Amino acid sequence: MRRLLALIKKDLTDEFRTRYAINSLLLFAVIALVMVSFATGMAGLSASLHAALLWIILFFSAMSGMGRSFAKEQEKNTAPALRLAAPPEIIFWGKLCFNTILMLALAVLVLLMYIFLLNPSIGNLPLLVLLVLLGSVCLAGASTILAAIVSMAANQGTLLPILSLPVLLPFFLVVINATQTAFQGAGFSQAAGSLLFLVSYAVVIITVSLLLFRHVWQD
Amino acid sequence: MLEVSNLTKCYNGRPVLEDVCCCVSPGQSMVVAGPNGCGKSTFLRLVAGLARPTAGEIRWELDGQVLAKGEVADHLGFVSPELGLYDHLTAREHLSFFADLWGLEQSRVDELLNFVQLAQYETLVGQYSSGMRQRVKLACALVHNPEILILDEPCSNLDQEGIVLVDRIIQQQLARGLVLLATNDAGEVARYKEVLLSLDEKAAGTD
Repeated sequence: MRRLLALIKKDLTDEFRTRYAINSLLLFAVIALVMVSFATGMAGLSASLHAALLWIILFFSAMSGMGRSFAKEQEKNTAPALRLAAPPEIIFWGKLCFNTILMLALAVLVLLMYIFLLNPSIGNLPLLVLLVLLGSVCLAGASTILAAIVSMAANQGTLLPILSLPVLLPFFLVVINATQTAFQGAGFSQAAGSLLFLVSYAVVIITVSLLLFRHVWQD
Repeated sequence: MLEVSNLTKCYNGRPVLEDVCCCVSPGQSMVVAGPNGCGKSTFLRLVAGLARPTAGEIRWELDGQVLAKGEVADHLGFVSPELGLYDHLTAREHLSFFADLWGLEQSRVDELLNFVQLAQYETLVGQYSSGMRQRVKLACALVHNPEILILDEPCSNLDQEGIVLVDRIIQQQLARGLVLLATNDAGEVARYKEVLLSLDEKAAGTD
């Protein structure tokens, strides 16, 4: 636990001083939200469109910031010292926790701004908040292992969103559908299947990532 | 003890190291010497477990016990020009981070900062000179009192005081383990070559 906390503290300290990921995440989210609000104006959007727009903004914001979590360790050549000082599982958990903290903070901010700028009609706010938070954990889980894989590639560019698509497609199909029902006012019982899927997705993606990470992390 | 037999490393099919053999006992220092590009750093990365050999065997033994591949890192300190630092952390934060990773008390941090003469600096490592950065790397490698110390060009960028510090580190290390050192400096080769691994020829060998 102490090792894990050390990694999270180091990443948070480094991030708050450089503000690289925070700036990328926030800038993308704010620009996308403002553009969407200008484009749609006062026109009332359907629940399905609101759900899709919300997750598109969250997805691309996440990809623009979290893709750097491992790449900067490789670029700065700090990865070898980490490899020697901590087992791969601890490194993965550290990066996952850091990405989850960032993603949850982003999700809360994006949701608040989305409600403020687009003023959607929300039938079940607690369900919407739960879906956004749970979905953020899934996004953080998937993007952590994918960021580790991409950090080993020579041409990292837009590789992360492209690699993420097949991995995140089933997640998006479920979460967008569930978010739509939350906008429409569905109860928790109606969304139980989707919530269960999201919890299962998070467990599966994190378990598989832990099994794979050792092989990805070795030079 | 380190035993290396027939170690070969190829990059894209091109051999960088071929059939390297050597043996270093506890209390000994081994110098890896040779011109630029002969594979000194590659050799050190391989024995540190930071890269996988194409062929050959690396065997670490400590107190009569053969170390498993995953255990070697627990006993090893590594310093190299290729190793980076976190530019937005201070030296104290670096050492504190590694002390936490190794599960050590924070008193070790103060002890090492005094030892490498960086206790008075609270600025970010990104603002340090290359010599000061080298001192931070040395301190980070020593945090967990490793039995094995691997130093790649340890005196690069160091002033006379820093060179004396490296010498002190090596002498202290020899009392509790072994030191592997890669250098091109003739003085360092002469001083530390209890075992010399010369990589200047295609087929490397030991004296």
